[in-house]
Amino acid sequence: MTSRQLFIRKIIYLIIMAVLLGVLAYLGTPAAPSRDPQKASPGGVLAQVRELEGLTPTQLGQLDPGGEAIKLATLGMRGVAVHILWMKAEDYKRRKDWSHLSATLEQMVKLEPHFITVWRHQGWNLSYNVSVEFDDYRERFRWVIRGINFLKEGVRYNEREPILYGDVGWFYSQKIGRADESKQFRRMFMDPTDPFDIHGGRPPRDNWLVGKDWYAEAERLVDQGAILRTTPLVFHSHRPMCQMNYAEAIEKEGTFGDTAIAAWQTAWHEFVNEFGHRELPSGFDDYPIIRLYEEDILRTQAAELAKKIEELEPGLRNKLLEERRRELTPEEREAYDTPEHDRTVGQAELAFSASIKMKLTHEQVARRISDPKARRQALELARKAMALERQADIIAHNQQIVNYDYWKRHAEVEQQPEAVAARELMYRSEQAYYNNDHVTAMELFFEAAKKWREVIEKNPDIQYDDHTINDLVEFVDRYMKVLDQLDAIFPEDFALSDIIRRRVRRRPEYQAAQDKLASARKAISKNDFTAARADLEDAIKQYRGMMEFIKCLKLLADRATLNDIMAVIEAYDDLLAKLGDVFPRNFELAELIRLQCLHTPEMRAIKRSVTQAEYLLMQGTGPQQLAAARQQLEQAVPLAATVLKKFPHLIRLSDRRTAMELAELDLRYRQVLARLGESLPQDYPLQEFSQKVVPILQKEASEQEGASPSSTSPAASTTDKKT
Amino acid sequence: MVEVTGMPIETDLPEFSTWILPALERWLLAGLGLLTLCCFVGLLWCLLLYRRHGWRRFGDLLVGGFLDLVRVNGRRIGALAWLTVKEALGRRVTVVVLIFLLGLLFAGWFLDPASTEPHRLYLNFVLGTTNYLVLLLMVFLTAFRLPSDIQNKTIYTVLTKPVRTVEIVTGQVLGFIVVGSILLGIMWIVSYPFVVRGLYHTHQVNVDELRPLGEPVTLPDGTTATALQGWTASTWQHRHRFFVDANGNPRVDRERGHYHNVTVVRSADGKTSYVLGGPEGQLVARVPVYAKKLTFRDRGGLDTEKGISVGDEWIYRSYIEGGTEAAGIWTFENLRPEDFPGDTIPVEMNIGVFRTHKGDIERGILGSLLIRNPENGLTVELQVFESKEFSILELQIPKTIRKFSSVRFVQRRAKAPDGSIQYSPAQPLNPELLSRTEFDLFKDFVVDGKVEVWLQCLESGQYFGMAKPDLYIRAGNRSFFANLFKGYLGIWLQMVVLVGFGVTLSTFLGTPVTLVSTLGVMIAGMAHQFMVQIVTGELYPEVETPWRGGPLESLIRLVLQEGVMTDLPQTAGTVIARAVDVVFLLWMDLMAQIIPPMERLSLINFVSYGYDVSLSLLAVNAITVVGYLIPLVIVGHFFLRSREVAA
Repeated sequence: MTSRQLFIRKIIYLIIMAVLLGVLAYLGTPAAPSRDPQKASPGGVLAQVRELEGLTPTQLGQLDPGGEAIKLATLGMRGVAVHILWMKAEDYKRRKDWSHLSATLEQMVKLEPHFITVWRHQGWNLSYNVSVEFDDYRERFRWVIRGINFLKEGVRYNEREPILYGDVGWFYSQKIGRADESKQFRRMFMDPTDPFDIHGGRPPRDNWLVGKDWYAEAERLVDQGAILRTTPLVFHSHRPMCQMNYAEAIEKEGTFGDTAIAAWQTAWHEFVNEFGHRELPSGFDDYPIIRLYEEDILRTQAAELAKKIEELEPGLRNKLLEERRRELTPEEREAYDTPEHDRTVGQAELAFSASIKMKLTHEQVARRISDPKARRQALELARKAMALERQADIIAHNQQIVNYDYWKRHAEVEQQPEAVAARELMYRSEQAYYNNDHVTAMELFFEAAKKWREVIEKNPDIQYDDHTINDLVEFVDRYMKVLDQLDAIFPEDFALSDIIRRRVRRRPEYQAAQDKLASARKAISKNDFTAARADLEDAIKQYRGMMEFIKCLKLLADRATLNDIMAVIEAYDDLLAKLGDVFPRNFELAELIRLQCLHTPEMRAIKRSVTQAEYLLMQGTGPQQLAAARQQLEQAVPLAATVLKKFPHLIRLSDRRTAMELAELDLRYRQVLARLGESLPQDYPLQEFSQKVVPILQKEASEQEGASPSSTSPAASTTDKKT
Repeated sequence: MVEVTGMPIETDLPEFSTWILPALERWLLAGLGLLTLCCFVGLLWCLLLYRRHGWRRFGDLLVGGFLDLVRVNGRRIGALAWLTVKEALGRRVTVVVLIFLLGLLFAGWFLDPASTEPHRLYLNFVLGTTNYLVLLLMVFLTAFRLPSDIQNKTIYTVLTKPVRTVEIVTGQVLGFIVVGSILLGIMWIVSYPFVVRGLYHTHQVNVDELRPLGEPVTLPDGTTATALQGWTASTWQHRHRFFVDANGNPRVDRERGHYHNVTVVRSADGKTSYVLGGPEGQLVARVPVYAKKLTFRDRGGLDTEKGISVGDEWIYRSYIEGGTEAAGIWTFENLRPEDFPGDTIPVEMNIGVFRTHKGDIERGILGSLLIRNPENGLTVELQVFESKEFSILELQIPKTIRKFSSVRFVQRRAKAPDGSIQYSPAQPLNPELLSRTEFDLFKDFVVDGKVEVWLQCLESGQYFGMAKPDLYIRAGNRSFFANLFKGYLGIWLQMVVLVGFGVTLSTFLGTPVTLVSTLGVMIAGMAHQFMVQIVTGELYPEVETPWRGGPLESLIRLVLQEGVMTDLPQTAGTVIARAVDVVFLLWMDLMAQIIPPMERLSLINFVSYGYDVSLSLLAVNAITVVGYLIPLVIVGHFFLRSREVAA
């Protein structure tokens, strides 16, 4: 290459460089603000875009000379440095070196103060992951607060990031209010001495309300046009939910009356009037913006239009529906006709398929109108109605995401004085239980249940709501321990039994058990006893499984369900009678039968008499004592016959413990008569029981003794005495 | 309770007396191997270069080289070292001091005094910065000195003088060490006030906010007074609980590892106020006496090497189950009564807690501290304590034990290789001992300086985690200032070994290659432990079959997104990759033997966690460095001599 060529090449390079620098200058000239608008310059394209999109450091948040110095010191290797620091932070976390972890996070955010993910991820790390590493709840709380402070620092650098404000709100509300240690956390949060410097000298407030304020701030930013980097629907639900949780929390901690009512009223107002009325993106292109409260209005409008279509040819819709109905199977028809809330799981499935077949659009109705002019008019109305319904469906879809209906109804109900009173009774009952005053706890519990009945009667809708049903069943389950302590069962007229029944009917085990019972009955009619036995045993297993989910059933909280279960037991008993067999020794529902037996007046009297007779015999075996004991036992024998009549399956050992108690009565009576030198009366009512059951029990007892020499059973001990 | 964390020590600290002989043996063997290798390579080189005169040249070189080694002159070395110092100063090494001071000036921007352990951050910053600055400076100085002299031929101004090459190499090494020592000395002196000043803070006490504590008490002078309690004002995101007893004596609780002395000030109008001094108790140098070994007892009472894993990713601690016979057993040796002048022996521990159920969340998990005579099995439960994680818990073992919860005979049971159970001691204890109400620690429990300290968790379903350094006897405190010096000594030792490498490499490599190589030695030395773990497959010690793959296998796993524990498909590519990895690992193994363990020489953690660096450890580290320096100087001398010959 000659020197001339080299020279030309250098000139070309210089020209290209000059052009590129010119473009760069045009694009990148910084803005020059001035007090005099005439002299101010908006800068190059890049500066203008930054300004427009709010991306200048001053718009993002506060500037930090330290952070800027570190950035410069890394000589453009900021990204690499952050990666190294991130790995170091992970290593410190693994090695539980908390001081260095938090120091590394500080360095990291100094390098990347506007990288939101660092703030969010590491804030979460501190409050959620590091805090739980500590055994002491005070230290846990300290680290939760550290995480929150870290996020607040992030807010300082990123003043227009609603998601960070939301995270602070979430940590204040959910992390403190919902943690395992929420009781202790809330206590420390509201400590008037404020040892963790949370409130900055101001009087302490409830964590849910502090969280709500941060959400409110985030919403303010969004309303001012800040970009929200999350789903708006869920994000905007957090603020009213904080109020809702606040109301729940204060009730849980024993604040009722006007304060609680006011808290719920605010919650309802914020959820329905503010959140419900907020314009939200729907996620659908045809109706991109929705308001959650509008669903009912739109459906009413659609119904009015449908009514107008109906008026154009009265009876047409019913006629078309009847046509479709005829195409349904009888089972589908039955399920479809059963009220929605009373359907079993199986019926719900059938009703769903039936409803698809029965679905009749407004357009389908309109097209069948015979008069052409009216048809045209109906088609126009149908189009409008369907558009309204489509919009309502979209709203309903969004409502489901935030459980809008439930929370709306919940806030509506909870603000009623009856509901607050019911909650107060529940609270007092719980306090009584913790103070070992079980009787008061039980009384208050039943009062609370009655109060809930009042609430349900005033708001019948809530009894069909899954969440409400679950809440109430949980409440009843919780109080089961009170009854258990007192050896009591639920009364037959228990105020919430229908709620439990509803829950039962929605359990798949209930449906399965019902199906198995039906199948067993069919098998019995065909004399296929093996299949019938398998079906019935399966049904019993299903009911046993269901009782693990709905624990209050163990103490007979719902008599209708008990009858269902007893129907299976009775069918099983009939089958065993046919097969000449007895109930298995580990019969899964034996305890249910025993509980029923124990709570009959006859069984109580039998126990009393037997105890009395035993006491007399312990005094001595003279003729006087024997006669008195005989008298006691003779009182008990007919009662035992009544028990056997009420529970005939006892003869096939449906409950061995009760059977054993009756066998003991029988043996004791025979023993006394033998000592008196008398024989059994001709019409001895326990003759059959004695002949059938006692030998089995004795055999089982001896088998058990053989298997485990150390164990003893009442039957075995009775046998010994007899010998 | 000291609210600072104890120092984890993941590899056992070597004890000088047991370390020196095996280390010396290994060193001699390695030296012999190196000598043989060098001779072989030198001979080969001479034969290639001088053909038939090669043997003679090699002989001259070897004999001359060794004669040089024995004829070294201290004065000449001193003069050459001084020359090196002057040249280094000419190269503006003082700039490093300025950078250091600049760093300290702006450190406050990045150090968080509100941290839970700010002293650790400050010390780590100061020592860490010094470490990197000095090492990097040495890398640059050594890389530029000799190669540039050779390149510029200025070396001949020295070589033409009657000096031996070994004197040049030694002189340079010593010269750089002197420069580094001066810098480190300055940094040590400057850093102390920086740390103390950086951590200084105080709190205000508002007398009006103090509230009565308990009932009023009658004082000896007949007046009644009530104790007061409250909080100090917040500084650096913490405050202290403040107490004034009925006699008017104030004190503050420890918080974040420190407390403050309080002065009572009474004004002319009779009002009392309290003035708090600076933080105390943060900058310490505890002298720990670590146990010789930690063994475990399982839930059934059998001795085991390890406790239970609770699934923690960091397997430093092993756990024992509460409410069972499980225990952690620390065996201390060489305990002498004269080493512990007081009435009690302080024991400090820093244990982990793992709950399998919430339990009583308002308090810690209960544990017990027992002491056992290893010979006759006499065991006394000294104390029941409440656990606190990530804090040092202080307990006292009295020399005369009068208060104890229980006394019993405990046999240790271990499974022999044949499956039988061996009992220790085999004979039961004299029952009279069990009925005593007073015991003497050294007479009844310590046998030939040996005693066992047991730790048990008392709550069922809860676990205590422990490692050997988690429980130690605190033999007192030493000066923090001196300990800081020892921390700098650790940096100094690293610097010395790096200078040795730098000077030696510069005798036969050019500036850029020396620079990169010395830098490589430094980085690899800092990651020495990691290298060893890769070579030995101990990187994942918690798994039974350690993964031993190399870089190619890692690359394949990265691409295929396979975890390290899954088997790779046996394809030709995998087989080749594994074969290449074997070579790579062999090379890495060799490197791990040659590269100095720089991270082991670093004593920063001891200083920042507040533990005294023992003389034994210092001696081990110093001898390690000398062990590297001698062969490096000899190798450097021969290389330089051979270059001179070649020239």
